[in-house]
Amino acid sequence: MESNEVPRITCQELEQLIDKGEQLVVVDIRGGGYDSQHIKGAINISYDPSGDPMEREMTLTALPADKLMVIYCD
Amino acid sequence: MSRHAKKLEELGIPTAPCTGVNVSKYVAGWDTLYASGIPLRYVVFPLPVAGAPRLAHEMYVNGNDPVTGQPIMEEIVAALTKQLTADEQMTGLPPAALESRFLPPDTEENLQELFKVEDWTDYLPIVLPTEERVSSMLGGTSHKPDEVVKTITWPGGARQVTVEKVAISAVMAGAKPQYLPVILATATMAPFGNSTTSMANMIIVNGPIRKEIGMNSGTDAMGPYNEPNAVIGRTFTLLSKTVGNLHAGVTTFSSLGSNLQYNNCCFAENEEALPQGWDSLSVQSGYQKEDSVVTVCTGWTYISSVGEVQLSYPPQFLIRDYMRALSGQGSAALLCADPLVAQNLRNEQGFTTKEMLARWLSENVRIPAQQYWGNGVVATFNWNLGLQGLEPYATWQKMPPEELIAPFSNHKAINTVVVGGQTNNLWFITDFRLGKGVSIDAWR
Repeated sequence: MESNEVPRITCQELEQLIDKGEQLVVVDIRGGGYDSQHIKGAINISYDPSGDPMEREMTLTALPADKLMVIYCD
Repeated sequence: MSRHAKKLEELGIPTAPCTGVNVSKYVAGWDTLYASGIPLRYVVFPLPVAGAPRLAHEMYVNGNDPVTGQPIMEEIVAALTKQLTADEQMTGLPPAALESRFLPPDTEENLQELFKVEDWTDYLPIVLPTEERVSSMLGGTSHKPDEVVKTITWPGGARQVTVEKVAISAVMAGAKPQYLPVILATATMAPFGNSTTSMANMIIVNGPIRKEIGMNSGTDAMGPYNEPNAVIGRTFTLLSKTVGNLHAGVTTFSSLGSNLQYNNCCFAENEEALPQGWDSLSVQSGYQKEDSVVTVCTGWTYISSVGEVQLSYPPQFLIRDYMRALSGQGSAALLCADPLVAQNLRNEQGFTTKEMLARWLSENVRIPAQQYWGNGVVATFNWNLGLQGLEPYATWQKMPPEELIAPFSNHKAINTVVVGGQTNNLWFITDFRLGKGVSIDAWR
């Protein structure tokens, strides 16, 4: 779903950030497929929109919010 | 666990999910009452499972399901091998539960009792939400009664929080119509903390509406001495329980619960007493001073300084010491400081902004690595991220147990709110994490 509050970047922009050595955290929240293929350095968080929102919130708060976070999904 | 079992079933792999007896009714109802179809064949184990000796586990496996009385291993084999019944072939969402807007007329005494029987109250007396009272409450906002404030999808289903339902809860809690914009803004963050832990919330109001409706940010602001503080906080509880469908032992399972959930620690920031250079919470969130804003915080722990600040030991030292008792999850901490303490920190200790204090605490609170990982919430949510190489967890999980770490590594998650009446220089340190500030003006 589009959100006005979360800025979006293109794959090319992400690639440039990685190439520049930016301190960022890349998070893969796809429903599956992480084990077979993912962006290098990305961590995997299972995101289930029908799941317990508190569980999801706790997982998200564990991410280092002082760094730039790039989240990608299906 | 249900979600994972369902995923396997969708892939064509039979499952036999096992659950503790305490939540067996809930998980069985999950498929048909709340969620996404595919009824599962649950096998129920006695409790306790976690922490019980191996011998107890062996007895469970060789014993009977406490709900059906059947041997557990036979149930597991049957769950994996028997053909599905017609009912078990249900797919898709269950039909939404029909809700009537009105209850049948009855006496006040009977209706008060009915609300308790249905678990729609906090078991303190409520004001019955008659059509007239709710209509009057709705006069506190320009928004239409059927406007959807948010949709609550947990536990299960999709329950719409409408302006009218919020007004009903507000009437029940004893609110006045002029409180409704604050209550509606707070409702965007409903329901309150729901976990097997003692998760709780804190509601902090900023901006001109504090004075307009007479909220207390001074003496006894965090105690039971002010109507809007008390009632706005209580409404969040009643709304969470009713529209949120939260019922102890049925859809919510906090082992101890939290006394903070009676009122959700609702108060206003004492903006008039902020030291020079210290911004209010709402200004820190990007709002203007003229904006009225509510911030709903989530946490567990609430520690009082007990006595007044001593000249021999600056307040930031004792705050640092007491923060060692917090989990450090998400680096979150919220200091509730009386203006006298805030002035001391600003003028005597040199913290010219809230951020400076946060940075100092971030660098100076240290605990042994084993203490950090000894907390269940931290271990559950952060350990896996460390295994994937995410710092600082990857480093912390490899450290010797006694080695010190700085668990509040993100200073931006350490916040301060100034509250209190300057009758004594006291503070609370809590592990409450700030939610997003919500505009109250948008709900006028």
